[in-house]
Amino acid sequence: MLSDYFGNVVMISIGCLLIYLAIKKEYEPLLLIPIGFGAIMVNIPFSGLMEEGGIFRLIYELGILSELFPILIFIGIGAMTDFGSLLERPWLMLLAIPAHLGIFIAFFAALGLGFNPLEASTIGILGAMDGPTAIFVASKYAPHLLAPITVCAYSYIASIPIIQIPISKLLTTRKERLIRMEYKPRSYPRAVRIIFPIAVTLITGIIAPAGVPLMGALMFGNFLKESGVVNRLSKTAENEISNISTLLMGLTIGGTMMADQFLRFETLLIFGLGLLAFISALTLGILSAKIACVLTKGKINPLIGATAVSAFPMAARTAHMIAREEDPDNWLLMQAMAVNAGGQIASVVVGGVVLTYVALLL
Amino acid sequence: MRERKFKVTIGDKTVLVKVEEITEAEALTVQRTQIKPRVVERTNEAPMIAITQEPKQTPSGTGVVRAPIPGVILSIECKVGDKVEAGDILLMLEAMKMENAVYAPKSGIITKIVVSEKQNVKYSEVLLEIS
Repeated sequence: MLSDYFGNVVMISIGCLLIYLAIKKEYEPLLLIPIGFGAIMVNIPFSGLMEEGGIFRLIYELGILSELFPILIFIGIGAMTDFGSLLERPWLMLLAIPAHLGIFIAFFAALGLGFNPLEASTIGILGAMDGPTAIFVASKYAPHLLAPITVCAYSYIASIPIIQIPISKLLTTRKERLIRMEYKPRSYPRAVRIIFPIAVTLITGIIAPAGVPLMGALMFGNFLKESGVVNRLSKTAENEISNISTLLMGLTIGGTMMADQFLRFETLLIFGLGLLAFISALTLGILSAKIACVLTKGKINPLIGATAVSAFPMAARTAHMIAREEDPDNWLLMQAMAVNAGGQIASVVVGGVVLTYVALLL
Repeated sequence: MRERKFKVTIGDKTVLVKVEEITEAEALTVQRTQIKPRVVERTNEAPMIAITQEPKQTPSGTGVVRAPIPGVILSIECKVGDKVEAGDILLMLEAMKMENAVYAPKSGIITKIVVSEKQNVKYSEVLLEIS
């Protein structure tokens, strides 16, 4: 009888572990604290939180399955993000294309391990290193995998320096890491900042209509900020909306971490494939930046290639930090942020492309 | 933590250096919490050794320190008249929500500090001067 609840004990321990990592190591505390606590609550036998009529079930259906929370969080992220450094050097966004091909590696590996195409697409999207996009795709294509996908995405995003530093050092030479990228501040009319979010929404919306909820939300948040006349709304998006959504989403994602659904071999596979997706994306990003470095006759530091997916802005900070470690006078931050902001946009486009076309192909 | 002591001899001078090993993830935290690497103990008359990796030689030798990227001055870690060594932290600059230490390009005495805390600086704006 007691052994029936062994899984619950394991899950409560995992919840405590997430909380420990959040407090002690500061791993994405804003998400791991609510997720960890939610996991503890839901695994108390007979709490009924995720059963029909349970409060977690209610928030889960209304907020996550409906895709409401990822959308609200994206409005907040849009209001927080400054695309200025990208607008100063938009060509750096090209690096995002090869980096996102890492998704295919994880996708085919997942197919090979017996996941169905919709599940494999969801797992592949982990390679975009973007939490809300992963949740959005999972809630449409594989809601039963939501818990492992979310926990996997956020744990790896939180540990991005641990993954990015060794890969970056392994794939680049010291000479490459010492490359300084000339910083030329460029001025452009304010209208560019205002037109940018509208243009991105329109263009990407035509390419991948199913991505409009996500991209539209991200760009709408940014538009609130850049329009300059609705400061109240942009502050609310950045703070209250994003905080409330993060809190409720985290708690309910924790609520989906029920022992019988989480403690499966599948979960381990997803964590393995997620790591493969992250490593492939970073590797392809750095390798393509190395090619760009040769093509530009040494004007591009390959370290910034690792920032060409999402994990914004931690990936950019990490690239900057690796460069400064060897040469304190090497400031890659602005260029890395530009690539990273481009990567953030590209990740959402890829999410939209997967939602639009994978469904059509099947 | 994983702390070890090293005796470093240069010419006839010997310096005792305490080195604490940290992981790369911790290095990020160190950068965030502005812990300054410093020599813990040294014998008399020993030359100062900059622990920061290869302090850059400014070819011109000018002591004008400029903003490497645009940002906000968070804190100023030196004052006029201070003697600094190449590689010492001069000030903290926040850019794109990241705190960065700006190091002294050469040894000398701070002769002028142009900026103040919380001030926005443009790229290449003069921050301070070292004699």
